Amino acid sequence: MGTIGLILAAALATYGTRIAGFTLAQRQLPGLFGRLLTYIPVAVFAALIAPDLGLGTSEAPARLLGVAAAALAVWRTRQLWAGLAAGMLIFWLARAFG
Amino acid sequence: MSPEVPLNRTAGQASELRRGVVAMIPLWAGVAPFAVAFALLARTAGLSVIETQLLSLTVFAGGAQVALVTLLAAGANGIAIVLTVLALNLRHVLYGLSLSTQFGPDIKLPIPLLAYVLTDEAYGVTIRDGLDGRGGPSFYFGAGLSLYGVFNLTTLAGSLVGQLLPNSERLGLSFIFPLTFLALLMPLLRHWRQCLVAATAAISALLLGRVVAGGLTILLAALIAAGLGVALETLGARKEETA
Repeated sequence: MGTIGLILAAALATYGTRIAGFTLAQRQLPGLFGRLLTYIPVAVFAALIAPDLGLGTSEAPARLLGVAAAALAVWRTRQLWAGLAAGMLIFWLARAFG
Repeated sequence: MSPEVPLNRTAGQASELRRGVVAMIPLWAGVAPFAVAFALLARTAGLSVIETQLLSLTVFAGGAQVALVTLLAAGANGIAIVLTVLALNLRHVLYGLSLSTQFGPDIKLPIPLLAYVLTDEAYGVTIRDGLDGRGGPSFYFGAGLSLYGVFNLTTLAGSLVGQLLPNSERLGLSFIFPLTFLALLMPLLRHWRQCLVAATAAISALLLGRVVAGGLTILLAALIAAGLGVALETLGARKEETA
């Protein structure tokens, strides 16, 4: 398998995962599954955040401060960009002066 | 925001698509340096400009692309590489199911096309937009295209002139990703049960990250935590019945 072939195989595998959910949803799914899905966004977002907090590394304090600042900004303004700006700013400051 | 009453369906779809494109702009700041870093890695691993671009055009999944290039450079077996990519991307199945529930049966755009641009980010902003009763297929597709365009343009930039750009690793721009998902998560925490599910998912992801291969972590952590949510809900309903 050449590099191009490998890339296309990886693309096919990835596309399979992308289309599968949409396709499965066209069928009648058991009720339990629907209830599970209502919790998926909350669960996925939390699972995506945790490994990026750098726990156990020297950057952990700066990252946690950044996250706290972002949470505060989102809570006060309800704006995504405000959270990103506040979080990055505090993260950079904490890292520079930490 | 004022509710829009579209003059006709196409005009409404076009404006929703535009809204999706715009909603993704804050996330460009995280995706662009990531794509540049990926392109640099790929070129260092010996891939050509065309092969590097082909990855971003067809796989369009940053984490999986980095894994593929790293494994390829380490001389890993082709089948093992494809299986790793598959595992890293399995969470998309959940996103597709979850988005379908939000979209309902009335989807005008072709589903194979919608699926092509599915990412964590497009899923995230669409679910968030759905809280306001919107976040339909056109919005989602706009968000997906927005990311696809930027990811591919910055992959090309990284391939061609990557060495000239400042080191994004040192700037720590990838920290935008957890911040984004935090901002997406917060409006969803409306009940103690959802807070508990979020905490469980976070802890599971940290613990599973030590024992399970990369990509399965998110999928398994999400399923465990969502399962707990359903279990608590069921217990709560039973308690109310007996009370």
